[in-house]
Amino acid sequence: MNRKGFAYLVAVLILGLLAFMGMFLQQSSSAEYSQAAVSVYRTMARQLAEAAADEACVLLEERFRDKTTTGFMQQLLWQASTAQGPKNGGSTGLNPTLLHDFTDLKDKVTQVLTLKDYHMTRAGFEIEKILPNIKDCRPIPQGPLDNENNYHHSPDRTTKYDNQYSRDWYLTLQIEVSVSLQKRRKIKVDYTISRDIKLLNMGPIARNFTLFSIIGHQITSSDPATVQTILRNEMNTPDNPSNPGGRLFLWNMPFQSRVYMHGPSIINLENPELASDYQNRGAFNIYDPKKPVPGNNNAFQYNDTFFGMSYFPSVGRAIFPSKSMWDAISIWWRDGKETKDDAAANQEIYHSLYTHKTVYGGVLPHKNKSLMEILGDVSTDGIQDTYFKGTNLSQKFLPGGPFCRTPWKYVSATLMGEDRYLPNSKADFDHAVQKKFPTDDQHLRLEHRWNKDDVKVSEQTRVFSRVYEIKYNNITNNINAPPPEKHIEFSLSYFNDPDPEGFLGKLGFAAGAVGGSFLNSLFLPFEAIGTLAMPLINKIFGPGEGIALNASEQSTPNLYPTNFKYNYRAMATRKMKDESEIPRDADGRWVLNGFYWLDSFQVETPVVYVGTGTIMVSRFTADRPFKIKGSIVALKADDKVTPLGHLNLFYHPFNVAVTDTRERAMIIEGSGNLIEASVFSCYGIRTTDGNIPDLTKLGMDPNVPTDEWSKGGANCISKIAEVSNIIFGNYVNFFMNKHFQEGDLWVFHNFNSPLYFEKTGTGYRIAQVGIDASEDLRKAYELMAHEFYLSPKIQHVASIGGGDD
Amino acid sequence: MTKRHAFSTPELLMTLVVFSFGILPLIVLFQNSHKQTAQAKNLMVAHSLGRTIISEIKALGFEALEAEMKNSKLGIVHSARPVGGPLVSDDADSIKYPDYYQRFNTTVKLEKASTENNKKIRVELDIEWKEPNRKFNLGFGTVIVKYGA
Repeated sequence: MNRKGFAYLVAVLILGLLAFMGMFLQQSSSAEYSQAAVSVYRTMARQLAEAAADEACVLLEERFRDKTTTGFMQQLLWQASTAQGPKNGGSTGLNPTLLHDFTDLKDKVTQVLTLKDYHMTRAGFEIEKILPNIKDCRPIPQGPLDNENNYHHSPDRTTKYDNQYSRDWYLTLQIEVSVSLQKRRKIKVDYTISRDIKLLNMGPIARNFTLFSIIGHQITSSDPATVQTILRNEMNTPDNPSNPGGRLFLWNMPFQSRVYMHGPSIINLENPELASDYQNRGAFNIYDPKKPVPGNNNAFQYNDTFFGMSYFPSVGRAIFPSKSMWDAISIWWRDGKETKDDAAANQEIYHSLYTHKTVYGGVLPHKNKSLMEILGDVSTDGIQDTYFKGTNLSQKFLPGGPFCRTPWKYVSATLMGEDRYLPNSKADFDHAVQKKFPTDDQHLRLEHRWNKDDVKVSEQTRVFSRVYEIKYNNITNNINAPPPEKHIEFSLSYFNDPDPEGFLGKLGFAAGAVGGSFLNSLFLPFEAIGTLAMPLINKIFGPGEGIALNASEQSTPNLYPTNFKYNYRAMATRKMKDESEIPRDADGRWVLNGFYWLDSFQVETPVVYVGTGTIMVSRFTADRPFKIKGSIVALKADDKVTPLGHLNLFYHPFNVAVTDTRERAMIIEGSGNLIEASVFSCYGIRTTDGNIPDLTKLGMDPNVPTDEWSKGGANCISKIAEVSNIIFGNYVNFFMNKHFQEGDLWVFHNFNSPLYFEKTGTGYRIAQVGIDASEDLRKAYELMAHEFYLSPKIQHVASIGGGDD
Repeated sequence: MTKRHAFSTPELLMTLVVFSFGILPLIVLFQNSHKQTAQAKNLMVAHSLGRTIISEIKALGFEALEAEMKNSKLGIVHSARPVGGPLVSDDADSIKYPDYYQRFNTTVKLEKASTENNKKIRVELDIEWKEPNRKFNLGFGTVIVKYGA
């Protein structure tokens, strides 16, 4: 038998085959395990990279929010101010270059490093880099408001209130992260994310103005009678005398706060003399020995002040008294009476305002009359003045206490501005020298739209003040023959009419000759209104819910207040259903941190907010209209008055097709509501309650200086806050719709907020003064007003690598 | 004499002895391969769990996690808990974790670095399971941050 060991060979071959299979299997399973491990490590690396990017973003956010010199905010803001839109800024926008330590953050992400070094140790991860960069910085497009000419420019100023630092910008933050495995250097995950940044101006809208009405009256008809009714009723007497509506009190900082209302309008002042007969009618503050007690609406204007700008019954109605004249006549007129009690008593409060004595001046301008004609004839009966007819059941542009006695100063173009109008002027009335109207007037005044570069527009938009009514012997040589008791009423009308001062003449009227019924037959230049006022808003905003850019937009020079936006939707940082989604802190306070865009807003209980933010509602919801029933106040600093943050409330349910806009007005329900905010409401505000029949019951005693009004109890503001409604900030609207008010509304220019006023050693100075004073102060304010917002949402993410090849 | 074609008994015995000696390491080889495959499978399951749990925790956000650290309502923080039950706890129709997953125990810790830097929460997830010859664990983690002031 020839055996050649074939069986062994077969066995070995089989073994070999099995070994090969086994090795193959081993290799395969080993590779499978290895791949599984790599897959796990890749996930871990990705998780580390994501965590590192998130942590880096938070670190950067803190640095960007840091407004000190070591933070990034200043550098970013100054550089952003040079950014341009696509037209001038190129295809990529500005790429800011930050200095300091805006570099690799791989050693600063402490939490991720802890994870890496003590928890995810298996693969030996290494964070190779975390590189941030910011780019594509552009201003947020604001349609026609990208043209600064469309922002209001007061005629007493050479520049706008705001400049390039006041804008809003968007840009992108990009983070590049690389994570590798030390054990397998070939494995590396590159992870890149980008997030949106918005750099927003969160300051008040129209910060210099207690009231800013962008369009003024909502005139929906060109019918003369309708126009007349609207103008008269909106600001003065509502149709229903039994329900005269609420009053609007503007409590201004004297000589500093401004009021703007786009004309035309008729606005009446107060008349303390008519206290008993006509409680709510008014004209000027005249001391009448026969009626020493003013009407309940007149307490503010009635006392011995002249620094408080009370009107004086002397030469020239509506002339603010000069000091010397005041002294002389007051002694003469009110023999033995101590003068200037109030001024002396309030000296500390008025502090530096004593140096701003332009309140001495002021006369109602008239194009075709000389000063003496305006002042009236001097006869044996004394100085006879022309008075002006108006009715005033509910309108109050009254002033308040230590802050202001009257909201405006009259500018006489006819008189070319006497030097007594100049700041700090001590010129006496009789010896004034004609000068050009001051260009640096810081003082409180009623403003109007004005375009310094357009002669025609400038002419068309001049303030026109006209006085109606009657002759009134306001001063006689015989002090035993007091003035006849006539209606002393006053209305100020100003128009955008090409020939405003002539329109009455065209209609056959002559001032001073028409008597008390004048206003009833007054026809306003409705053609001009129809052309200029109503279509304006149609041109600006398209129909529908929002504030969308309108292709047919047109420039409207000199119309909008500071920090008013056109493209509010682009400003939003968070979209919410309603106020219930506003974040709250552990104490239940609203946490304001950005621009919240809500579908609807109704506050039913008092709320305190912390931080700075804007709440915007851009639509009208019939079953949930914008309503405030309860105070909305800021948390205060340790001094208990300085707000820790700021709120802008913005309600714009504009719809061009809607003519009955009452339900679209912002509702302030009930009384006792204090809203600490800059409030914008397109169609005005409807208060439902809060009338104060007798202001003296709040401690406002016209017989004592204002600083004594608080004696014997809480101060006036607190009492007003309890029984009426207060906006503590400022009030901006598109349409005044004053007649929607069913209860009183007080607007206090927020002197406690550094975004409105600077607190000096002895008082308050409007922030604009500092802003205008120097570039550094301008920057300091803008730094305070701007806030940095980093979107938590990832705009773009990319990841590559992670393989082991 | 008849010609014999088959292997003789000694041949077969020797072959079997040789084969047996040869096959033993091969069996070990196969066993190891099987173990590695099982480990790879477990690793992938752990990988999947790690991704899922970290994603779930990330989705909660900083505020919810901060509240959870103060007063646990969701049971995020736990120790050595077997994976089981529905994927979405309050959904009756939710997919349930397979029974196989019961062998995986998860531990989650939430940590804040310091009081000065309290806008970051470090999440540590540890997944542990038993392999035939040893315990195995994988550490996952992330950092949840709070944006805004």
